[in-house]
Amino acid sequence: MSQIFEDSTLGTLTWRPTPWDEKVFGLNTVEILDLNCSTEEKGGKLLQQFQDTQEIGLLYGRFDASDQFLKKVLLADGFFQCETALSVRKNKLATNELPKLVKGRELELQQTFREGDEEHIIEQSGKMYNFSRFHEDPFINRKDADKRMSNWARQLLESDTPVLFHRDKKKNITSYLFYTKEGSEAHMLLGGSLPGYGMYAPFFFGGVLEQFKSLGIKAIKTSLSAANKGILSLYITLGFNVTSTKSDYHKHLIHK
Amino acid sequence: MDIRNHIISTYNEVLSYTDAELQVEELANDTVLLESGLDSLGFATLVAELEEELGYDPFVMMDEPIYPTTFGEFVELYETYKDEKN
Repeated sequence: MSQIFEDSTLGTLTWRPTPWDEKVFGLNTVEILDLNCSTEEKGGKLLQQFQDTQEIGLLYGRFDASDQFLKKVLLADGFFQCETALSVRKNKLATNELPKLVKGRELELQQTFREGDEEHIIEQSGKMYNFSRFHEDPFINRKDADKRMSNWARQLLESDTPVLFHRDKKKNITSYLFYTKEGSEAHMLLGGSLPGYGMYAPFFFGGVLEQFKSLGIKAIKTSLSAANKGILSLYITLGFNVTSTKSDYHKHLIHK
Repeated sequence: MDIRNHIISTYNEVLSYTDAELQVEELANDTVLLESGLDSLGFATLVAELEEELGYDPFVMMDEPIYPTTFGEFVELYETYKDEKN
């Protein structure tokens, strides 16, 4: 739940505690959601006041990459830039034709788990991601960043978030995707190919697009790291457009 | 040209027009596909190119999904399905 820190002369800072991250990193984590101030100086003072009133170990926030004002305020306060996150969207899915590279090769997808599948996904989620706001923070150790992804998969499974996945001949899950559906729009939350199966991501996502189409979904949105050029090229090939670019800023107040 | 050499030749062509570079000394049987230089989209391009050149695509022909992870397994898959194309 978001909270507001306010100083009548300096401005307002909207923030939220992030207990799911605290659990992984073992320190107090806070995400800044918005910062409103009229000058850089006031912004700097507001940030300092906020940090003085909270016991924070890691402070972070994701803001429009073109916001130079905010960038200056945050960098001057000691934040550094980590992940660049791209929001991408694909419209008009109902009339979508898969690109030649993928068409006819899309993977068959399933939605019903067998015994052991969920634990397998949780375990593999901690091994299959190289890009995220925390994987791209050089001061966070890889093991913690991996654990956060694994915890995220667990939380999605526990909340019965819809998932699509593919199995190989040995019945092993090779790729999965968690998503939510709102009206005729799907939001792809977390997914990809398990270690060793990354080469088949285009065929998996081809299957995902076809499955969404059959579910009556008309638009798809997701976000990804700009550093993940493999998946970015794939989304562009599949007809996604970049709709926004955000920079993730971090400040470590306590180094583990 | 045998299948293996055909795949190597096409692989190198795809590398060059996707601005990628071979990340290993040579494509050996134990070369992990994802570490060889092509990304997943490059790999999809390779499969599509091979279908045009060889006239078949094992990934479409297989009844049950098999996914090679090494170059040797990839070549073997194409060799296995070579006779089935007819």
